Amino acid sequence: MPGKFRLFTIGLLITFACTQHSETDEERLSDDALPFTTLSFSNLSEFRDVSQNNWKTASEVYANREEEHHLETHEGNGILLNQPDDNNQANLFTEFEHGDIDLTLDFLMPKGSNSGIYLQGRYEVQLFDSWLKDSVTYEDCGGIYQRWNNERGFEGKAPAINASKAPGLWQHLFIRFKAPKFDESGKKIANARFQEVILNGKVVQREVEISGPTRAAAFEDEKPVGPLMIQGDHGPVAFKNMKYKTYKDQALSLENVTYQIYKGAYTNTDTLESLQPIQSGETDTLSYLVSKENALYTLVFKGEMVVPESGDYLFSVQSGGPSWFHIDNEYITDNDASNNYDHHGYGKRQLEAGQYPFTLTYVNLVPWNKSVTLSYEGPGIPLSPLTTQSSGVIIPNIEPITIKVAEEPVLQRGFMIHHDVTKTHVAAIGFPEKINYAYDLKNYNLLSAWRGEFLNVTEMWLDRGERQLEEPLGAPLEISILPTVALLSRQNAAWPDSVTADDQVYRNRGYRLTDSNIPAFFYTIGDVEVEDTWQPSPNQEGLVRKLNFTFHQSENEVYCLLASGSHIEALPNGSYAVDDKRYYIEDLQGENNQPVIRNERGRAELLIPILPQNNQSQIQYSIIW
Amino acid sequence: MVTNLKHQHLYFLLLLFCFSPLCAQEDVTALENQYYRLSDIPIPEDIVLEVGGMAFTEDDQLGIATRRGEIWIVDDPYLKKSRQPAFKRFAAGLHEPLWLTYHQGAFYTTQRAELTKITDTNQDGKGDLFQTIYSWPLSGNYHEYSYGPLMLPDGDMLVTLNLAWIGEGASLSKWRGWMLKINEKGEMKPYATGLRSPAGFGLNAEGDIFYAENQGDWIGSGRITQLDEGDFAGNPSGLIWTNEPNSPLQLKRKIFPDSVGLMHEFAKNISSLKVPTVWFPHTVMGISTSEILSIDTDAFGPFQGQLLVGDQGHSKIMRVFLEKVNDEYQGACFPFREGFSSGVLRMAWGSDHSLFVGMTSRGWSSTGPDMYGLQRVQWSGQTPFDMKAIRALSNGFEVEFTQPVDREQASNSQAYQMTGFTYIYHRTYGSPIINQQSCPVVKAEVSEDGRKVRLYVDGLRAGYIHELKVNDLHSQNGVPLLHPSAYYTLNNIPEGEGLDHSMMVAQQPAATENVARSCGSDPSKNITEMPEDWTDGPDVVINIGTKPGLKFDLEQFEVTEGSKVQLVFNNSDDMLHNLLVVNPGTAEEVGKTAMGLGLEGTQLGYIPDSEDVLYHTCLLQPESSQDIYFVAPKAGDYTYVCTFPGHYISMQGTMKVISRSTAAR
Repeated sequence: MPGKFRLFTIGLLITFACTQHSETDEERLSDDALPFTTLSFSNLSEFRDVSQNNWKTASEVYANREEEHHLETHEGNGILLNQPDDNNQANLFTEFEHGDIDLTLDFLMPKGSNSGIYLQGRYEVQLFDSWLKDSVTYEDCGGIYQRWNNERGFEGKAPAINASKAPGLWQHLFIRFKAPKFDESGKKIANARFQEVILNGKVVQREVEISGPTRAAAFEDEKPVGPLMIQGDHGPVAFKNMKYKTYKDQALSLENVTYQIYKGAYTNTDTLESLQPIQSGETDTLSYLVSKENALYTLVFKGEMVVPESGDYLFSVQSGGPSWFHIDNEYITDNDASNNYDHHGYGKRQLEAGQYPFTLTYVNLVPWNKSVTLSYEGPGIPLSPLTTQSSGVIIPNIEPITIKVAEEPVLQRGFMIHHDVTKTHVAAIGFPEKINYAYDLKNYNLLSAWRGEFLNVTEMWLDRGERQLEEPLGAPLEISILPTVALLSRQNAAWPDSVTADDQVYRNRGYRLTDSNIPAFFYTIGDVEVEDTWQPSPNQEGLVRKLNFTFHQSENEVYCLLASGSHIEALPNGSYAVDDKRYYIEDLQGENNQPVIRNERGRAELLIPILPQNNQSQIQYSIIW
Repeated sequence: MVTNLKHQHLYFLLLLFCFSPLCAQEDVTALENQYYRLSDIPIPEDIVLEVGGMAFTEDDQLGIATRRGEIWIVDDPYLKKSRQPAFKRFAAGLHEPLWLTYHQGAFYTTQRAELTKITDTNQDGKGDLFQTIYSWPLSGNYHEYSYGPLMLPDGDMLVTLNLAWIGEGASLSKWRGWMLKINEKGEMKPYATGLRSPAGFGLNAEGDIFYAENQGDWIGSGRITQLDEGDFAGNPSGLIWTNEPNSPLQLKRKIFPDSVGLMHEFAKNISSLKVPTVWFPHTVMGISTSEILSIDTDAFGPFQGQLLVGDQGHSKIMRVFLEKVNDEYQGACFPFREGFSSGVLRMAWGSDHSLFVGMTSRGWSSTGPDMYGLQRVQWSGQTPFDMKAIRALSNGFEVEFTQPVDREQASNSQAYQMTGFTYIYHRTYGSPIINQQSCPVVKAEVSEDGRKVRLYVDGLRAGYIHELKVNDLHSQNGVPLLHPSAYYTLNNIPEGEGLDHSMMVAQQPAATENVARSCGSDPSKNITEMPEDWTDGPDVVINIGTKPGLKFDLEQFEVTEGSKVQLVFNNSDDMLHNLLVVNPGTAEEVGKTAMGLGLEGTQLGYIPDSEDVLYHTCLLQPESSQDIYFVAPKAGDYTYVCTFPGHYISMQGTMKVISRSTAAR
């Protein structure tokens, strides 16, 4: 219905990359990785010519989550989209060709739609509106599609969990793909392999080998390289932030490597130069294991590094003691003298192809912390270690301890990671309907929500439980936590960022369990009593929140924060899309209370003033994702 | 940070300590069982009852909080109705509750982050109202355990907050290392600090507050300390919060050098520093004190008015007699009952005056082999022949017995051996025994009723622990003394007559200032420098570290017989460990012998003088390491084991020595 579509974008539109955080190293920060190449969606010039007209660019899209195949667009660019009809339903091929590749993108599925990403035009990761499906197969979102032969499907792999979000929301996908390998005669010596597929922050595929092209591939044969193909014949779909890094079969190589071991911990290179090593020799690998010293020693590797191709190189050191790295006597990076192996020091350098002397120095302070890893990334070279695997820290495999939900809701307190920070005052709640959420007991607000299985508590209940973490078993929708309720002197006063535990701002607080074991959190702020209850919404689409307020002569105006994010859109159906379409707020019922969207310090906030009637007020709304 | 253990020297007198029944524990357990019977309360198989807290309800049901966050109610803990009592789940989902209190119809507990009150408002047997009474910040460090509340008679509650562990104890968030007083309304008053690992605290019969501490940094050995408002109990980490307006003391962290010296001397100039009321010498009287419970009845035997103190690592319960001298508490600790099935963390009195004992050993193993357990101690009605109390006198001690003594044996001063010693007050983890000196008992006078013996003792030192060993003493009825050792912490010597030196026989105190090397008695088993004739260096270097939960990180390694081995042991744990290579099949025996070493154990680093011990490291501080060198013995499966008391059960590995012919193939 061209022309009828209106997009209500209220508030500042901030150009902001998808705020979701994955749990792996897929998207390291810009300083910590070489940049991805972005596929421009300003027009279709990055793609091979298509005779049909189903593919175009847009500045904004809207898909009503309840309307089959609905996708409305706003003319412009930045978003790639497919709107097929009977005559226009071509697949789209990139101009570039790839072998090994890391690919990251955001996609938006209209209700009931279907698409796919074919690596090398041959091996498909399925995109599908699998929202709310209880069980998933290879045909569902994040699946590796089946192969086809003699009227029969084979291979194919279902995603580990259903990590799908609702139609019309942006979802995030990361694919790490290894192309098939061939010998000089052209004979295949290694199958194509999906090393990792991450959907909405959860790994859904790991190390999946495929013996040949999947069903409906563009090519029957297998080749070292091929174009990326996006499926266009099964329904509308939109993409943005599509970025990739392609890799070639090349690597840095090391030559003439020697090592010197000095007794004592020296972090000054000049001092080291003046000392006699207690041990030295030649080595063909970089590993702290060349040293038999127990502690308090300094290990220096010197050698030559053969750079295969000119370009930007990024180096990373991590170690259980101070370490630093030089090329051609120039400082590249150090690990900030950290004793924490998980701490990385990054350094970037432009290098011409050729041979360079290098020095890697590692200082061991404590015997149980022996570890040094030097990694790098370069043009056409993925992040790879230059040290041996045994020179790093190896994490053991553990059988997980999980909490399952049976007939009644389950609550479990613990620590939880939220936006890379450990939150210490958290209650996780799982419902039999396979809807779960985590609630922050410092700010009394939603921390995250997920669908599917409930909780992994291995890190709390195994041995000493050194991290005390509970981890969602489904793909978590992480919500930015600000306090739900605040007493503002005026409507444009700033919303408080947080409340510290020992401020004791909240009084008379805790939670009660209803007869069916559903927790209702309660507290008093100022002289307003608040009760906050979350329940699965009908059809497991999300959570319904009910907030009850009881007033006792409040002098301040009481406000409730329904949502905050980079921006908040009021949608034509009366609902809201929050934080660049990460989730919906729907069915807002606030009696006479009218919501407002405002902008505070670059953050959009959906506020509702709480106006008492007979000292009571109630707000209800749903969070759908 | 790395302890250099190679250049310390060995100068100490070998004192004969090991004639005590500590060397034959199983016998003691059997004897104790005649008087204090131990029985299991069966736990249903599907319940992981890692006990964090216990409390009886007004209906005489036993509430149990578990480390997995549940609260169970045992309907018939006395097993009157059934041999398998019913366990009903009252609550779940809490964050490691390590205490349970029942007060006016509600349970109270601490979770890691808060003090919580749990009420069953609709009387359906399940808690439905969870109220946060008071909440505190957390850094997220695993060692930030929270304990309490102890309900005071006025309804105020006491809570203690464990320090974080970052290679040493640290107060990373507010009030860590403190005892807090909190009322029902959620008003909090910081009460005392200097705490490190305060898992247990309780009131004595007079209503004074005592807390139990474990060995660690700044804490030379386990102990209990009486706390008043504004007291500082020894570990300075919590002092970073004394600038807060509600802090009851102003003492600052910066006045503490890394090594202070003697705590009781230092305390003379620091009014808020409270010295320990009773020390529990490490490994002799447990290794990790836990609950403190007062015996408020004579229905549990002859010890009314005394305290029971649990021990997690040694799965036992000890007993404390207290008295006041110069208006301050001091007293003695005695063995009481050992042989529990897991780590003793909590105790609670049943209405029939039997003692319920709740246990866990996850993460910190115990001599009791089970991961968790629930047991009960009942007095048989027979009175054991035991030391009941020791009272300090100006010139000795008065020892009170539970029954009249054999007059002739008891009046022989040779039957008593007394040794004074103390610990270093320093930042380092634990302490060797220092300034050890024997104190001759010059005369023993038996009271008219035969129940008390007055010991005239030379060489008493205020501030020192005084060990009393009694040899071959029987009761008037011929029963041998059940527990012949006790440790009196003599903070103050009562004023009065001194010792009449005419009484002194020709016996001089064997003064022995010594420095403990903590490294066995045979230096040839602890070669820490590479032998000079190993010109090509070792044939093999084996690195062994530790894992949390008392384990080595290497379960097995293989060497060829006759090969030159450099073994590197890295103690990366937060407690003391050693590593002994012992003959095949002897680890258990060596481990038990080490436990029985008594005070000598500290000096030997718990390395027994045994032919079965082939090579060993010294006893290593947390975060230190040592290299030892040896030539691999003849082929066989040898065990390497940590013999720090209680660790040998789980901390073992195998050194497979293969024959040269096998190796050649």
